[in-house]
Formats: sequence, C-alpha cells, structure tokens
Amino acid sequence: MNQKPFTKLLSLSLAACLLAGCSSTSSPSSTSSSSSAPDGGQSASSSAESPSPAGDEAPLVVTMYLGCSVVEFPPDGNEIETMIEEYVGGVDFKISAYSGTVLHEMMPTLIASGDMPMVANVGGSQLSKSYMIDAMRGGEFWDVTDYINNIDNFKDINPAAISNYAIAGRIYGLPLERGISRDSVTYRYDWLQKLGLDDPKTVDELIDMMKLFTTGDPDGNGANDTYGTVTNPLGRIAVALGAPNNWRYQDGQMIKAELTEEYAKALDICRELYAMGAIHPEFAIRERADYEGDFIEGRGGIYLNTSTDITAFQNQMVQKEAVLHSSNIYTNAEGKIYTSAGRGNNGVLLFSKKAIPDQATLDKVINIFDRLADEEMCNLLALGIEGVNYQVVDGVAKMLEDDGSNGVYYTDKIYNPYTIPLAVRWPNLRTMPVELAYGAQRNLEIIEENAPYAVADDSMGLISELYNDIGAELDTLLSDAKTLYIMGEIDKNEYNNRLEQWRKQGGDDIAAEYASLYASERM
Amino acid sequence: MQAVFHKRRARFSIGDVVIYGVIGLFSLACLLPFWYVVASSLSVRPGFLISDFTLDGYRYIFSTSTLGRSLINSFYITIVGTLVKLFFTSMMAYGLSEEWVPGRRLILNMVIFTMLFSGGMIPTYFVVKGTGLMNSLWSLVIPGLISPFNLIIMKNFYQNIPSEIKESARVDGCPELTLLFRIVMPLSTATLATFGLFYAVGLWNTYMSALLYIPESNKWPIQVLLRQIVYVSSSIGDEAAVEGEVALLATNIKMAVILVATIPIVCLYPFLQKHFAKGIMVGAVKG
Amino acid sequence: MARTAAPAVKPLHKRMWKARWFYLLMFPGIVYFIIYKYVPMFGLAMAFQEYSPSAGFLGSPWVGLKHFRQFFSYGSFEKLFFNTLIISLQSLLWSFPAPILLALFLNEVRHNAYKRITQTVMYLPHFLSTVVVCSIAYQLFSVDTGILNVFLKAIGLESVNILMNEAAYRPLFVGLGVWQGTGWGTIIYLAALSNIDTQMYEAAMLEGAGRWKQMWYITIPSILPIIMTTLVLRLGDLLDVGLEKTLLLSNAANRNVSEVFDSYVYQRGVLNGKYSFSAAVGMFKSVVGLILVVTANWLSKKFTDEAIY
Repeated sequence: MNQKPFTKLLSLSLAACLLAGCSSTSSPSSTSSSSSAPDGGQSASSSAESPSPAGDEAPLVVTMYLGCSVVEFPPDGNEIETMIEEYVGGVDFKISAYSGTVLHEMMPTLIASGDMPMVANVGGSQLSKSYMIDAMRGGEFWDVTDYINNIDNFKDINPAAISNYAIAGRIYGLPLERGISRDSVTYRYDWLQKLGLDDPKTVDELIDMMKLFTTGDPDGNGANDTYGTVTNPLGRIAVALGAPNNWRYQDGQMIKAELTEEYAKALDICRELYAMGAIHPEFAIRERADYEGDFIEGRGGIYLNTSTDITAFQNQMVQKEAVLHSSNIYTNAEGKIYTSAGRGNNGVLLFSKKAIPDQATLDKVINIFDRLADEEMCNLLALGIEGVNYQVVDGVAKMLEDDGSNGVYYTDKIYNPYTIPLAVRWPNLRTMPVELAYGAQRNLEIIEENAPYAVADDSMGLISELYNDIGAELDTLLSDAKTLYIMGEIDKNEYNNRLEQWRKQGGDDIAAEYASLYASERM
Repeated sequence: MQAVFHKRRARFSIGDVVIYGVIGLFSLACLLPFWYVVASSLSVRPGFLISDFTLDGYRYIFSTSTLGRSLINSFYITIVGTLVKLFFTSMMAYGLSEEWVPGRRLILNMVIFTMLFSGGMIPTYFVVKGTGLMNSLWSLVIPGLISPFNLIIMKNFYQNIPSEIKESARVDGCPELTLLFRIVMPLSTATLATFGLFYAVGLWNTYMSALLYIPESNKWPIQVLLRQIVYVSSSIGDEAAVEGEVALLATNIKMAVILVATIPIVCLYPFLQKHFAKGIMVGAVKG
Repeated sequence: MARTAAPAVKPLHKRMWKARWFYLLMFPGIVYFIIYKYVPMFGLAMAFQEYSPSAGFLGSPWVGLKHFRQFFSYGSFEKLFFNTLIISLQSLLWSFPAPILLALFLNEVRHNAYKRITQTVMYLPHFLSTVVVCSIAYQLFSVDTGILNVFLKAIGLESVNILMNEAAYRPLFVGLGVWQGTGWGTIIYLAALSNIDTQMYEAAMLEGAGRWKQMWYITIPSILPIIMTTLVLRLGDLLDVGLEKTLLLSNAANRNVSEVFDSYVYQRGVLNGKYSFSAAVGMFKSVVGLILVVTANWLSKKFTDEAIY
C-alpha cells in the first residue's frame, strides 16, 4: 500500500546521504617532486632566489579567509597559487574566498566561536567597529608591531597607513598598504576638445566643465541629455576649496567639515549644479552599477572616484572614440591645492592567536607576506605573467596588448584573488622597470601628485565610544540634510537647523571627545 | 468518478469575466518583471526588449565549475532535506492532533514560544558546532528541521480529518501506527504537497547557514554563489569593503544567474499541482 | 468541525499509556526543539549584558536594563513606533486578504490550463530575493530612465517621482509586499479548499444556491480555521517590517516615514557590532509578539471558535 513507497523513498535518500558523505573531497597536491636530471641538458625547474624549504618537513598548511571581489576564486592548487607557494617555500594555502561585505558579516561570529582561520583580511571600515576593537584589545590577534619595525620589506611602510588602527601604540595586523591619496577625477577629454577646451587646472574650471558637459551638448546628438557628472562631487569640491577632510584639529578643537564656510560654499555649488541638471536627480540612491553604466555609455562626462579609473573604464567605453583623462590637482581661488588623504591601506590582515599557536608558526606565516613584497612576486602581482601579460625587452617590461583574454586572466586569476587581499606593500611600486599603458602610468602619477597636498582626516584612528554608540544616526542626519539641500527640497535655514540638531544630538560631544583623544594620542 | 464539481455553465457569466480578468491581470503583473530579468540576461544592455542578443552571460556562467557544483549541492540538499523535514514534521503534527493526549497543550506552547523568542545567530552556531554538524550539508537541514508554523497548520489539518474514519479503524482493531501510515497519510497528500513545497523552497534558498557552517566552498549551494555575484557588483552594504577593480560584472550575467538559481525550484510546483486539485473526501466517510 | 470524541475521564497514567504512540511520534520533534531552539536561548542573556564576541557570554559584563532604557528614551522612539506600526498594519490590511481572495477566485476557474499557467506565474515574484525586487522597482520607477516614466513621457505626461518621495513610500513598500507575496500565499488556502467535501456543493446546488452564495455559506466557513490560525500566527511578527527592504528603499527624502525599529537597530546595533543592543530590541519585539499572539488566539477562540490549540 502507501506505506511501502514512502518508506522506500526515505531509506533510499538516507542511503544516498551516507554515500555522499563517504565521498571525500579531493585534496590538492602541491608538492612537486623534483627529479634529478640524468640526461644532460635537462634543467630542473627551481624557484630561483627563494629560500628553499627545509628538506623533509611537510609544508605548513595556512588557512585563509579572504574577502575579495571575485565571483569564483581560482581552485586550490592553481598555477598562480602554486607559483606563490613555491617561491615562498614550505607552505600550502587553504583559501576560502568571500565577497568583502559577506566576510564582514561573518567576522563577529567567527571571533566569538573561536573559528577564525590563521589569516583573514578585513576592510578598513571594520577597524573602528566595537567588536573589532574589543577583539584586538582582548588579544584575539597577534601583535605584529615588531615585525613591521624589523623586517626590511616592511620598515618603510607609511606610518599613516598603520596609525589609524593602532591600539595603545601596538599594531595587531599587517596593513594592505596603498597610496595615501588615491582620489581622482576622470573625465571625457574628447568631449572637452569638442567644446574647445583643455584640461581644467583650477576648481572653477572644473566646475565650468561640469556645467558645459550638461548644457553644451558634448555628445553632439542635438539633445540636452548628458549629465555633467555621474557622481556627487560635493566632498571633492569641499576639500579642494579648503574644507577639512571630515574632521580637522585646530587650536585645541575638532572641527567638523560640514560646519565650515568652505563646505557651505561647496554645497551651494552643488545645489546649483543639481538645479541645472548636471547631477542625476536620483544621485542619492543610485548604485555603483548605475552610475558606472552612465559613464560607460556616455550619459555623463565626469566620474569622481580613484586613480585607477582610466584603466578600469577605457576598454569598456561604448563610444570607442572616448579619451579619458584623470587628475586631482585643482587650484582654488586662494591658489592652494588640496587633496584628501584616505586610510593609506585597503584593509588589514589579521592573524588569529587561536589558529596560529606559537611564535615559530607566526614567523613562517609572516614570511609569506614578506616574500610577497620581493620584486619577483611583485612582478607577478602587479604585472602578470611574463609572455602573457608583458614582455621583457632590455630589462624593461613592456605590457602586452589586451587581446581579450590576457587582461581578464590577470584580473580574475591574479589581481582580484591574490594581489588585492594579500599584498602588504603596494606591488606596483616594487616591480622591475616597466613601461606602462597610459592609464596605468597615470595611476602611479596621480598618487604621487596627490601626496604632497593630502589633507588627513584627523579623526581617523581615534576611537570614540560615543561615536560608536550613536555615530550612525548622526551621520544619516547630516547626509540626509545635505542631500535634501542639494536637491532643493529644503532651504538654507532648514539646513542650518539640522546642523544645529546634529550638534545638540551629539555632534558637539563627539567633537570634544575627539579633541581630547587627539591631544593625548597624537601630540 | 461521479464528482460533479461545481455548476457547469455553457458560457461566461459576468462573475466569470471578473474572476478570470483579475487573475489574468495579476499574473501579468507578476510576469512582467520576470520578463525583464529574462530579457536582460539575453542582451548586452538590460531592458524589457532584447536590444542586442547575446548568450555571453550564460556562457560565462556555465564555464565556471562552481555553478555546476553548487547546483548539484542545491538539488541534493533540497530533495533529501525536504523529505527528512516533512517526515519529522508530519510525525510530530499527527502526534499533536488528538486533543485528549495529556501534555499536548504544554508542548504546543513550547513550540509557539520558539516562534517568537530565539537565542540568536551566535548561540545557535555554538549548538550546531557542538552537535558535530560543522562543514556538513546536514547543518542546513537539521537546525531548521521543523518549522513551528508548518507544524501547527499541519496539526490542524490532521485534526480536521473526520474522527469517524479513525474511530472505525480503531474499533476494527487497527494499531495506531498502521492507522497513521495506511489511512491518514493518503488522505493528506494535499497537505504534504503544500508543506513539502514550503520546505523545498526554504532549503533551495538557504544562504546564511551555508556561509556560517560550511567553510568548504565546493559544498556551497547556489544561493551563496548568487549572493557573491550580486554583492560584488553593487554598492549595497559596506562601500569601502575591500576596494578592488571590479571588472564591472555585466548585468546580463547577474540576470542569468538569477534565472538559473530560481527556475529549478519554480518548476517544482507544476508537478505538485495535481495534489491540490482534488476534493478527496468524497464518499470516504459515508461509505 | 469534527473533533475526536474525548474518552471518559481516566486516570492520567492510563491516558498516557494509551497515548504512547503519539508520544513516540512526537519524540524526535521534541528533542529537536530542545536542542536547537531552547538550548541556544541562553543567548537571550545578551540583552542584559554588554556582550563582546571575544569575551563571550561568560566574560561579558552585566548591565541589567541599560539597553532597554536607552531604547525607550531615544528621542524618536515614538516616531519609530508609529512608522513601524503603520507600515505593518497597512501590510497586514492588504497582503493578508489578497491571497485568500485570489485563492477563492482560482478555485472558480474551470479551465485547468489557464489555472495552472496563471498559478505558476503568480509564484514567480516570491522567489526573487529582496535585492532583486528592489532593483527591479528601481528600474521601473526611476525618474529619468524608469520604464514607467519613459512611458509617461512618451504619451505626453509628466514623469512621477516615486522613489524619493515621502508620500509614495508606504504605497510602494506595501505594494511590493503584496506583489511578491500574494501568489505564494494562495498555496495554503488552495490546499485547504481542495479538502472541502464536494458533496456540500452538490447539495447546495440542488437547493438552488448560486456561485456567490455557495462561496459565502460553504467555502469561506470551511477555510475559516486556516484563516484564523494564519492570522494569529502572523500577528506574532507584527513589529517585523522587513529590514532588507527598508534599507534598500529608504533614503533622505522619505526618511521620516521609512525609519522603523529594525533599521534603527541595524544602524545602532548591528553596524557597530553592538549585539546586546539589538538583542534587547529583539526581545522587546518578541515580548510584544507573544502578547499579541496570545490575545489574538483568545479572541479568535471566543468569536469564531477557532484557535491554534
């Protein structure tokens, strides 16, 4: 009757479970057996200058949880990973990859349960969160201050890249160092030429460019359908005019950017731009995919983001005649130039004390990152594979043209999975001499150009308990006020009212807290 | 079969027009956005009309080994997990279905309490770990084994089976378990189909549990892959998560993944539908 | 509705022996609930501590009702409460009856092919994740490139601003919920409808009752138990509005009406890793939910003679 098929089905599925459970996942073999060469002329491949692993020791298995932007992380034992493992010697990586956001969601649970892997990277945003600070203070992660101070490859890391997550002067993770100021404004140079202009050099010229891109019909199709800028230029203009980068320490006080005159001026400029249609009406809710799409498809002429944008976008532009220029140096009316300094790092590598039991193991793990900063590895991480991505001519690497597959190969198999989450020193500065494409060259130049004018956020690295408590709602209060003002939904009076509200609800208290923290920790 | 369902009319009445119309309009409203997803997955630029046809999105997806593997994982978890969950839920539901059983109230209260109060993600993690489910696909099934909502509604269904059926069997000396399996179960196919569907969908859509409890990526179900893709190419969540040069993941790939991750489970319903359409009590009691 | 006749009152242990098979059936389920639902409840203690993942439950300090006090004294507490309640009630008002109505209609459809096709189509929205649904909403209603506005402009009308508009927020929010959940919600009612004795309809027809009368006197009373049960259980979640959807749809322009408990807790609690705070608010919601469920169940029993028990 009906009992039979039911129980039959159940027992079948239980059997299936058992069978499936029994099948083991394949374990990767990463050790290559080196054969002695009996025949003359056969060269045994060896990793040239790397320290060779101790003879009979099994390689150290290094577990890693990496947050990176790949859809599919290259499988265990792939050639890039093998190359790195062989160069470093005596290690076997076991990597689980997640998107950055997802890894951040998992972090607290991993810490609480004691299931942290040996190595994990977290983005800068997590470094000021309560749970992370508590974990660092509570000894969850190894103190690596001495390594940073003593290892050659790490000695000259920019102090600004480390100080913003120091706890009482000690450092609990290796930074993923990047340029301190990477912002840049990328724009359609071909449109400029069509309108009879040249690269803007002053803030006023930049703003005019935005306006003209809106009204001047730069794509020549007879309709006023272009946006001056696809992203909100408020922050950038404010800093260029001289406003603080978020907070500025001055005369014993911490001053919030939004409360300054320069910021107010920048706001008014943006309000004007919005009113004339230079900014997308829904700029506040757009997603990255949307405004990138706008730029790529030629609906907008300016994209304010980072120095790598030329390289990122050049190949994707729909209009093939598009020429992209990028710069962040704009002189304001007082003749000054300001750029904003970021964290100086793209996150931090954490080493769990529970997963790495002793100093000796830690030495070996840190050694991985030390080796990754050597020139040979930096060539791999920054340039790619010789013969595929670049060719060496007279000791200079010449980048090969992207034939549609080698570029993707680099991005998907090297850059996103390994370079981004693992490179402590920025590899692009430590390669062999190289001749770069325009975009890549500008990338390096912009970072250099920006550096002398970089304005730091004085609150970075300071841990305010009050901010941790109510900071998010205060931030929303401010950003809502700015958005509505730019959109023309509220007037100056109402905007100022909201600023006042921000101050009373906690802004002033946070300012006071930061001021005293700064005085005690930075002076 | 003598069942005359409803009155049969030769032509459409106004009531019919209204009914068919409302259903039709609503279905259309449900279909359009899906059409958007389909069209966008097949063209270079997203939209309702296929502007430039391309199969690149699908090609990309099927070239990754991850997709195939995660689909298999999902099928496995869904099929096996649904059967297991249905089994235990219906057992417990039947156990609770007779009002005279002592302690029934207490147990029901206990169940309802868990619907409202929960220890949270971290304590549950400890329990899952402590019961040895880490890194096993069973960690996606067992912690959610019985849904209180499903349990209660199923219990109500069993309660509403006319007692005469059960009493006459008992009087004939039929043991309880045989009664359950041979008489009650066949009568409740609609119920089983319904909750089987609910459980199946829930299992198919598992995401967070997989991330927390299964570190090995080759055991991940399809939704994890989908989430990775959606998060990678949108600015939801942590903006400064980890900056990378996202070769902007084409919308058509995103859309294609959505379809591939959704269609298998959508196809489940038509197979179960025949179980919903019967009026099965005919003659069972009176005869 | 038929109920099992209660046997003549016997001593407890005799009843328990008689029920032994039932206990057997329930046993695995009970074990499950204890292990995976009750044991983790020690985590509720988090609401009274200053929990830190690295210190764990044993190491984190106790702060009593601090978080609750903080929560209730928040300046905008009333606004949050009001927003949460309004959106929730509106959602209930529209998304609860819609599947019932639709199920009743579907039951009347005589052409099987039409029925099957429309049903399958109607389930589709349920499978889309919130992220995708909001993304589609954006594509539909965006002010410049949104399909709706492109259409309006094409026929000479002004474009409408739905996404950054305070007045449009609640309709949009509730509307998306109805769109996404109605089709799927019909399943359970259809299952109930299929269990109705067709002989009742035959009898009614013989007495000359038309379609609508049949629906009113037979169909609806037959599925009343399931309706009431579902309603009561649904009330337990009244204060749960849908965090992801809120986060995706709220912005500067509609903040006044879109800010609810969950989004506030997310900002204050989750984003900053303040687990204790979100645990405390969660407990508040659970307690309210419990009160609602118990009350609703009692009312339901009184007025319709149907209840969870």
